[in-house]
Amino acid sequence: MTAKHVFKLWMIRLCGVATLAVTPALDITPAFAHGERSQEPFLRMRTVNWYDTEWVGKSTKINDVTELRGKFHLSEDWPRAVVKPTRTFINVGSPSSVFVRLSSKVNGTPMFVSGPMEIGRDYEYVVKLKARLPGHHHIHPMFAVKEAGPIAGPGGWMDITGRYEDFTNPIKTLTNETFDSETMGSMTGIGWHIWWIALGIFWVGFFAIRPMYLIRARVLAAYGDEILLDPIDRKVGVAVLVLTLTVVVVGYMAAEAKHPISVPLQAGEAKIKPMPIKPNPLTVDVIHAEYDVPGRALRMTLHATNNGTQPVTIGEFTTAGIRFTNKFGASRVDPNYPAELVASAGLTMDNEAPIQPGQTVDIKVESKDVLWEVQRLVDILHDPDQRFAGLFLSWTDSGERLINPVWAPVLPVFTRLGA
Amino acid sequence: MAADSSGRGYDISQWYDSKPVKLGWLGMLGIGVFWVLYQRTFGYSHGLDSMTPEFDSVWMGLWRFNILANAVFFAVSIGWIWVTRDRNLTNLDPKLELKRYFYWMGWLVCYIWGVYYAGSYTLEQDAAWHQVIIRDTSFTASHIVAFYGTFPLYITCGVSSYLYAQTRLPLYSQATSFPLVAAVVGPMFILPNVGLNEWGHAFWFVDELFAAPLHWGFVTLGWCGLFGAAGGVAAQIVSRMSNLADVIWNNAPKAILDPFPSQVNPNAKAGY
Amino acid sequence: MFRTDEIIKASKLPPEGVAMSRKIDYIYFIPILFVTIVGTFHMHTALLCGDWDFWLDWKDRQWWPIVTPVTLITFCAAIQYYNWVNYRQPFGATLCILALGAGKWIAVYTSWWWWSNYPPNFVMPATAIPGALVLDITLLLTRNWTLTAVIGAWMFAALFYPSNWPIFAYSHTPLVVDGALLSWADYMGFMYVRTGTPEYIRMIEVGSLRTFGGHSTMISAFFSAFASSLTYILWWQFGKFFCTSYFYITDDRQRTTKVYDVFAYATLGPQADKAKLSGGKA
Repeated sequence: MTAKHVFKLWMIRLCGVATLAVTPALDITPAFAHGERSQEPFLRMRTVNWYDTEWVGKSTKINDVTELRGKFHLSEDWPRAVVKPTRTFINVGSPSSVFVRLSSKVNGTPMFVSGPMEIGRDYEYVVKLKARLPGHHHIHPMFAVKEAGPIAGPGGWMDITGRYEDFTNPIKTLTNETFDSETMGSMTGIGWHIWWIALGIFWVGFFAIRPMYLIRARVLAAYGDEILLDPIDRKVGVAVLVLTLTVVVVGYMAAEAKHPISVPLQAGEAKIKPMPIKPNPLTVDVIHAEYDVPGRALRMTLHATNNGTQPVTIGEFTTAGIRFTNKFGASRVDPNYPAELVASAGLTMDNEAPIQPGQTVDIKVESKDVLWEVQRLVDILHDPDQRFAGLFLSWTDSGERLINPVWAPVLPVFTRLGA
Repeated sequence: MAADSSGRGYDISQWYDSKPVKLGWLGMLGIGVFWVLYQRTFGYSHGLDSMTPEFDSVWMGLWRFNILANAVFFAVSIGWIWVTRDRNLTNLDPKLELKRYFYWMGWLVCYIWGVYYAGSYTLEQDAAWHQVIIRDTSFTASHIVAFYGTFPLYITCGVSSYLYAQTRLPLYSQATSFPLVAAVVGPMFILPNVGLNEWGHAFWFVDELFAAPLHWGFVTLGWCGLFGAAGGVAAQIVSRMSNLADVIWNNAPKAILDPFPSQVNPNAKAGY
Repeated sequence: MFRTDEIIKASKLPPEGVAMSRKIDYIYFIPILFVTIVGTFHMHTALLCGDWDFWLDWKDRQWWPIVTPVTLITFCAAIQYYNWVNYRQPFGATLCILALGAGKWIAVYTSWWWWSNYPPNFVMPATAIPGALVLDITLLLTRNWTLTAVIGAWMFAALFYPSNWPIFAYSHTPLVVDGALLSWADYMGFMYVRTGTPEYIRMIEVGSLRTFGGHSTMISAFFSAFASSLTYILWWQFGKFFCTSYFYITDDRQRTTKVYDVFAYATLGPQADKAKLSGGKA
């Protein structure tokens, strides 16, 4: 790795020079993100509604263990163009394995292999990560659906400090051996490869040291192959054959003796129960929604009923990991949540008053921010199925949080005059 | 040049010159090393989000460079071969023809080195890179080098190899070699096949399964390379060089260097 | 030790001609033939059985020992055809696998490790060199491609699993994480995150797995041998097709004829003594 770093340094210098030579107007301000913005709005808004995402331990030392955790709701408005989540896997989007993932639990069940999840239900994941490569990294939770591909959640920053050279990852096996994931098996494997490559080169080289092509083609075409079939070739052939078979058999037996206990690769299915459905006294439906293109705002008319015993105040609308809050909601946002994904004054309502027990109201809500543009959710206008989905977060007076998934078709408004 | 400058009793420079192939190969190596270092330097720092202006300047900058440089290389290479073509091939000295076969093999060496970049190096690098990014554009840091750098590079070398043979070697100027066409055109079609790849990845195969049938177009077109190095073209080179050797050193009749006219079928139908 | 002098004598080339033939060998063998195989065979392998070859946690008992030999024996057969039929050189298969290894190992260190930060043990390729050596030697000893298809190709596939077991046996060691049983390979695949290959992409241990006695690997190897044998036959014929060497010539009346170059040495000088050298069978 030291050599790797020295090399990298050199390369950076060299490439700097080369790059400046070819693209004179080069802007080399580093930007770290993970490409989630190009995922279509229908993928990001109408599949997985992320919430409570936490990047625990903003700065971690090499070898220390931290967590990425959070919850998500699988939207009832799952698009027709996306395969249903019958085989899913909770993944981590990171710029390579900057962390090694030690464990991943969804609703308390380990998720080493994929499994089905249910639309309309909520799940909580906790991913344990061990710091491996130093740097300033953008980490996403990801939800991968078979035949629909990875769906990236919100990205947050996690720093790793220290030196890679100090990284070790020893793990105890059931046979009471300790394997280090960085090195286990490398030397044995490389040794075997070197041995076979050497024998292969010997075999080819044995013929390559003699005239190979034109001369043999002439002799073969004119006289046939009797002269070409040198008896020594056959002798050496038999010797190499016997050697090869012997080494394979001995190698196999030695490996069996060294690793007598083995299991096949485990290819089962994770059986994960969704989180229990929490009684929610609030019902929220979107009865009209439009997207104001020049105003960068999603306007909704909510039809909400409070069937509970306490007043309820709406504080946040979240979709695609982006959070639009009013003042009430802003005070409840985790201060560690990436600021670039929060529009803290992005939610306005024509009636901010708490919804009283037994009350039914129609509220005009506007979620407005340049984030619609920056996060490219405006592209909803280019989707073949112009709908949106998301979560409304509200709180009762006693501080209980209520989550209401919403979804609806959305109509575009292209000019202010039309609004 | 004086004969026997090396004490061998003959002067190999009459029929052999390896300088162009060495220079050509080193040039190819140089651009390859540049690409790899560029990727390693700017991959993580600027190559993860195609929606940023930094991506546009650093990565699309490289894309523009690749397109431009390849266009210039194609024009210069093809133009030079055409302009300096041999207009008097019927009187070609056998030793010079032998030398041209070595030059031609030099072109093939460069072509194949480009095929190596495209089919082996950048291909597996693509597998590696797409495991650590969320693929958010057709122009990923890996694709910009693979599809828009190495592909046009080897295509230019392939077409140049073809044109070199057609303008300087009697057999190929008189007739069209089936295996040579296959060896150049087959791999060439790998570039348009990228269209299938991108279409498939956009609409059908969103995960990076390498063995997916979507990729098999690349495989079958790649097989065509065998028409060159391990098939018809190599066989044609060996038999022609053998014939030239017989004329040069064994006093064989020069007629063996002109095999086609006697085979032309006077009753063949007029074709396309 | 070698018959080289006799062969050179039969080729009837003066030293200058022999020197010329060696120049062809130098510029052709590695820079053209070997590198072509690296470029095309590596692509072929990566796109037909690459996933099994890339990842430690794809090397299962069911598919890995089938898809890998069947994919690899293709080029081995075609390159054997070319080298054996035209030159009686018995190294085609070994050359192919060496070329593949060259492409592969460069990628392991400069792409998987240097760029994508995966440790080499996680992306360690399999070896097929023992099988390739046996395939080549079978052709040399039997001088018969049908026998090679039966014996050599079967051995090529059958040797695949045992010759790779010393490299990968450790990766099937069991361990328990969070109360779940995993093989070490599974856990490696879990620890080193892949954005493009989530776990469900793995094509391993699928199907009914009713092997009646648990000999999954044996059954896979047996089928693999059969399939490799058929693939060998098909690709030997492909090798023949790749060796197509005709030209088309179009005259000034737009008539196109198929024509061939003539390998003059076969018909010129040695005619007189050909019968003598080949025991009167000319």
